[in-house]
Amino acid sequence: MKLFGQSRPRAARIARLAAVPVALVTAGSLTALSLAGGASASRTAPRSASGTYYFVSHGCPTDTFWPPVWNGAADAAKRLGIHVDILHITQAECGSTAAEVNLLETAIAAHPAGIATTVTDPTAFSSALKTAAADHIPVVVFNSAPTANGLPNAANPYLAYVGQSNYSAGVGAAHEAVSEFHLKSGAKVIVIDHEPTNISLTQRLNGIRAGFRPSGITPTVIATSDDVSSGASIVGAYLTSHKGVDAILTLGTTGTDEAVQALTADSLHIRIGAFDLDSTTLAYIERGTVTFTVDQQPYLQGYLSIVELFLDKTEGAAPVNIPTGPAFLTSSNVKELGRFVNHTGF
Amino acid sequence: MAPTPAAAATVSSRGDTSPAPPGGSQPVAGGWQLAASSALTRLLRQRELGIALVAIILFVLFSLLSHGTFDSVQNWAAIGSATAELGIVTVGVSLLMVSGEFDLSVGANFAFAALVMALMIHDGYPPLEALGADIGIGIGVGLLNGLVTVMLDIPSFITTLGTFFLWSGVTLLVTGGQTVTILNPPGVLTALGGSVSGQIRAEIFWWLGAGLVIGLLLHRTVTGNWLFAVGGKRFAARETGVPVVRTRVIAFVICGVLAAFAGAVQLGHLDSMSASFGSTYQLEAIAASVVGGCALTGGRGSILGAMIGTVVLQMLDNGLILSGVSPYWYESVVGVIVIAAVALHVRIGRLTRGAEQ
Repeated sequence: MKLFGQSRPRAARIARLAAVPVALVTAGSLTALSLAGGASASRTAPRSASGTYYFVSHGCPTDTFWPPVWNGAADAAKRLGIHVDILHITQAECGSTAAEVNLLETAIAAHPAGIATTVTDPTAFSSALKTAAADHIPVVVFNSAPTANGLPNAANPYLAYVGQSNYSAGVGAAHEAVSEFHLKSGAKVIVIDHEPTNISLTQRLNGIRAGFRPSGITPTVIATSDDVSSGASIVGAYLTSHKGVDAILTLGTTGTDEAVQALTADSLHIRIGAFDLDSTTLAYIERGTVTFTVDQQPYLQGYLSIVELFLDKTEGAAPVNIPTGPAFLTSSNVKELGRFVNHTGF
Repeated sequence: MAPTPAAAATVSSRGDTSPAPPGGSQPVAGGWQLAASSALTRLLRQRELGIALVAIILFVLFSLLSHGTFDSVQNWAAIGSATAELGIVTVGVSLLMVSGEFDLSVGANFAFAALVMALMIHDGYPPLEALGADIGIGIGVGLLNGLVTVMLDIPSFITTLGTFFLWSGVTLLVTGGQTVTILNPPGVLTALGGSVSGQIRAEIFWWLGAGLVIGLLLHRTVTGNWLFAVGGKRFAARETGVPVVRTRVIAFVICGVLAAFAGAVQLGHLDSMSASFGSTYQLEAIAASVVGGCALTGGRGSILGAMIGTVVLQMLDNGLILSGVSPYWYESVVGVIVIAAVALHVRIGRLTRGAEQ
């Protein structure tokens, strides 16, 4: 009797309680979907699955290098009136190639109008890129390519590379240093390598060596680390024991910070040529602490990748390789760039 | 020797550690309503039900929102690959959670073991030896976690937080932070993570196999009963003759082996490995296990539930993208789902236990 009396309300209660979290899940997802629909920058264009383009990168959400790249892609989408979904790895996934490959595979499964992606590894993206090629999905690679010259190979098929060749950027940096610093044959130049195992920096270094060779200059490489204060002390110790250094080249923003700190600590005045651009490097150039930096123009990497995919889709124009760098930023054009920087959200 | 674990055997293989009352859930006389209520109670006692419902809701939702791209075979091959790599880790983590422990070192173990394997293949060692080294490291890492936790009598959360840092550091020391790439992958790597048919990769079958083996171990063997007993009521388990220390260490070793094996499988998929791979897995595996019905306090959970939990996380990651939602939302939505799923499990658990008494 008692059991009988309880059974129905309990069943109802069970069903009701079970419904609450399920409803919460559904509501949570729907809210996220609708909120996100309003929040995305590139959502003004009319959508259809067949007309969607995907923009995939390995950029950490908090890495200051990447917003100009993403803004470039979003601006291109807006001006062309197309729908571009910009896919990001999460902060926790920074450095995980597997996470980016998952994004790329998801994008391919959607059979989009085109995909722009970075390729940071010579093997990991291979099967995804082959699938895209087999499915006739146009793929343009930007920023990071699996080969030193940026060109596709048998394992990594894609249509074109939009980005900087690190080797030619290195050659360009050496030429710029010779002309800006009026270096003569036998001049003492040091290069700060803050990530000795990073293949991109090694490519830049090889380019620098080759670029200096015709001028009769053999640079000395100082290996430091990503830790700016210890790197600065290594550079400082070298400069104290080796007088008469004519110029310093760095291979990235970390090395630039190390060089500037070492010179400041010892009140030395040696001219610096740098690689890459962040707000600190920009300030160094405005103050004259750094004479020039090699800019790979991240905004163009985002913008032009989308333009290439759009023209491929609408006009059948085959995407071509575009070297977005090296562009040289000095105190004479830094003002001009300041306006551009404000616009691109650097 | 130790008495036969007769008492432990009364622990339900579903993982409910409360003693089964005699005839408690049998339909006694009382008419169809009682029978229906009892059937509903039995259905709800399946820990997988709640998460299966969530999975079905998400499947329908994303299929509708994605213009037919979400429910394609190709997309599920992509979801399957991502699920398998996290899923193999999760199978071990959920078994360990049933025994009342955590392993925060699975991500570091994953990368360390797979990096050693990659370096060995890169340097020309036989691939099977390299795989053996990978598994051996998994056993070693798990054994260390288990022995330190048991012998020093400290919470496994702390032990494995420590070993997470330890193995992350060792991995960086060994590789200098570099990615190791295998340009000509041997057959062993293809068998672990290569293509079986089109985009469907072998790793999915390794995941299903791991789930089946560990599921049978946990739900159909005496060792499985011991794991539930140790996780649920450790003192009672010891009193009734369950070899508590051995059972706990075994759970850590199984978890360690599966994390290392998952690393080998991902190496097979990407032919590339770096210290940062797998870095999110410790928390995602716990989230998938909890969503799938594992209790944080131990003693409750199921392998099938944890496997569906992993699928749900990967469906979210993939479905949000294909629905045109910014992937930034993924983590936020996972947060909501974790809380909602646990709320569901707690309430259903309370009610079904009430119904038995």
